[in-house]
Amino acid sequence: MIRNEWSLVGLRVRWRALLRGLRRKNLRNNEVALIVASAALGVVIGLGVIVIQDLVQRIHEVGFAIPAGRHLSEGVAPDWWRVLLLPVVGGLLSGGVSFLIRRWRPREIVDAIEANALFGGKMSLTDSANLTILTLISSGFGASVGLEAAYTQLGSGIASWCGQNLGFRRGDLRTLVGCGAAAAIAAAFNAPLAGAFYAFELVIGNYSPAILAPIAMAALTGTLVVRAISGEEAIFGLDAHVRIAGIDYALFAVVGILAAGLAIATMVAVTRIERLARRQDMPGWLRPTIGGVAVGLVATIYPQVLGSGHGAIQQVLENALPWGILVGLIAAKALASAVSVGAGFRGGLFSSSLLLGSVFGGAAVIALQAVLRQLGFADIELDRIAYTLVGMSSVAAGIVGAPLTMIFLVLELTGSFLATLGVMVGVIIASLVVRLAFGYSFATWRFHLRGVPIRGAHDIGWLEDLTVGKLMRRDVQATSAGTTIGEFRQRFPLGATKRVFLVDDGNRYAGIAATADVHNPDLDDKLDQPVGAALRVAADQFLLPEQNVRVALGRFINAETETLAVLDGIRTFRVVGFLTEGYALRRYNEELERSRADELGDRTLFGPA
Amino acid sequence: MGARDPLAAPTPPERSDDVGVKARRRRLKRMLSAVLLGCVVAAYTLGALGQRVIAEDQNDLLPVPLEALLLGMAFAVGSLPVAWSIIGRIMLPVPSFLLYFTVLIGKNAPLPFYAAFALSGVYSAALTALARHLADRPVRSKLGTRGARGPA
Repeated sequence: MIRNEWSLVGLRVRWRALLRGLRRKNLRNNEVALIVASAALGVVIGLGVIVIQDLVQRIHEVGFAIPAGRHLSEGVAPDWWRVLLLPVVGGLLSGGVSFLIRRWRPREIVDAIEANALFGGKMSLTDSANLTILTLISSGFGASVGLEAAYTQLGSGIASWCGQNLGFRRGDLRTLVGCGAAAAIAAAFNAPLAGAFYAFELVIGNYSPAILAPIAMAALTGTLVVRAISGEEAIFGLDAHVRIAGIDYALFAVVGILAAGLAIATMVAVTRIERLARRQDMPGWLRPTIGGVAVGLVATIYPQVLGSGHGAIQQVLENALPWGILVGLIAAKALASAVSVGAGFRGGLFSSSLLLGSVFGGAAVIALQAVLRQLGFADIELDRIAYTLVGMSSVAAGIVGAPLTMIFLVLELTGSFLATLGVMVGVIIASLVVRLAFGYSFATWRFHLRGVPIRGAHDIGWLEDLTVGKLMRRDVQATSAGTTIGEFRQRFPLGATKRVFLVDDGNRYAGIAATADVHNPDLDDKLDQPVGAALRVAADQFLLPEQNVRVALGRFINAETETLAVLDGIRTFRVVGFLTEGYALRRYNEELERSRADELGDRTLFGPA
Repeated sequence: MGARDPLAAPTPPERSDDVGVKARRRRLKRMLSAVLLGCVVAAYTLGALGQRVIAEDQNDLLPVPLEALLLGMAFAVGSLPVAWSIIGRIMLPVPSFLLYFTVLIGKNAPLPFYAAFALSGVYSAALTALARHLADRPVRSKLGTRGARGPA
């Protein structure tokens, strides 16, 4: 018999009481509280990452009958029919679950980047859990996607939920979402620096000393939990005794350029396949099944494409594979990942891009060595591991859009500063080429295709919150456009109001008349003329309550006026308020200052308000 | 504006230069896509052929890289948005079936004969169908071109 105080209701009551207590302690103004919260979150998220990894490994071991402790992408699945069939089953399951979730919650799931850019760090924990389940199904049944999307979504979702419950400020909530992602990536790769910089580059969008402590603390505790439970080994075992000479740095730049091309081609391929799948006359829930058929077909020849690809990366790093197989694996992995994501499996391209890049690096070093021999430099011996690492990090930096993360990831995996120097060259070149030639990372490319107006995690959500409806004044003075100047002067004497809004017979907006203009002595002999005919301005310029302040300021410039009417809609045309340019500018400036101060973590940056 | 002379010859529909430029660019893009995908097919086939470990399945008529290259070229030609791309598509099914059949029965952990036969058929059909899809040209002419004559 469960005692009453430990029942579900009892726990909920205790939880709420705890939250009330914490809120009363005014944690939102306490920097130490933020750091403590981020450390606790790191522990929870580290445990979450272990649970997800373990679950997926169990599904692989049972479903594909692989030996315990081995990776699916090592190609150790003994039965061809499992390799062919399970991605199809996964597609059916993923499509079905996705269909049910969409019926239950018919909206796009907000990820950490979108939440920080548009919603001040607010994420739904339920949506995050749903996406985690879908990614778990996708990766568990062999789709060629990584689990990092699930880790970061769950980590950020938990962090956001905690922050919202504790009443954290907008800026702190965004930082906490970054902490969630940092802990998740740090725990996934056993690499705290990579995790922290993943948050700085992708989830928060900038680095400042004020956010360093919470982000680093979350990444550190996440890593420590994984090390305590799963051991201290790096995710890829690597004997990284690399040899790099002067010419290598020039060749790393060449690898970086080619890696950028591969990254762009992969991102575009995902979109093309997605469009192709959507054009077919079939229900949406069936698309992942078709994708599963394609992945299964590819995997019968290239089993390395199954799952996230960590085992295959290890193989590529350990063994010098023939050039033909490497080239084939590049095509197969790019195709399988693009088909998986394009067909509707959930998951990211973080791990996939690492495998794609490592295979590409392995192929590039063989090709470059052959070219050097042809050119008469037979004595120059290129280091296979160094080029594999450069290829891996360059392609991943191009696709993920996080160059520093990839540099630190290699540093933490290898512990070799020499390898990191080489990687730095390739990564910088690849990131630059992708930015100049394409302009997006995979995440921002997806936002672009969905019509979400963001290019990163920089907070622009406040702009959408600052609407005309919130800024406008409602004390509108209105009169008919047919009112004569004489009547107007009687009704609105000088000093009573600055402007009067004119409306037609149907009470629809017809322009603005400035009271001072109507009282101009030059008009004394035209007292019987209607005001609307002689003195109205801005009759075709107006604002709507849902427009944001930036649109409003643009409209002021176009209208060349200082006041604009706010109408309830473009059909009804009724005046519900007005907005002045001076007030809009002042509020815009205030919010800009606040946003900048939040970013830099110094609320007194511009002095007292 | 004066009324149009009913006896005058019909004027051809106006077409801006921009339409022509865009059409050429679109065509070039499709050609490049076909060539790029041909390279992908060649690379994929090269890697697949390299996975054969059973000696009897490696006694090919041509060197392996050449076989992969020819298959990639056939796919690229078959994917071009031109009328004669059918030549490429005619050349695709049988060689691709045979090559992938040798891969599936000759790789490490080979597939049973029936499965290899069926899957290489699927591979062959998929490659041909994809080439057909990429080569697909609009049946109706674009608006504003001379060929746009509907039923009277």
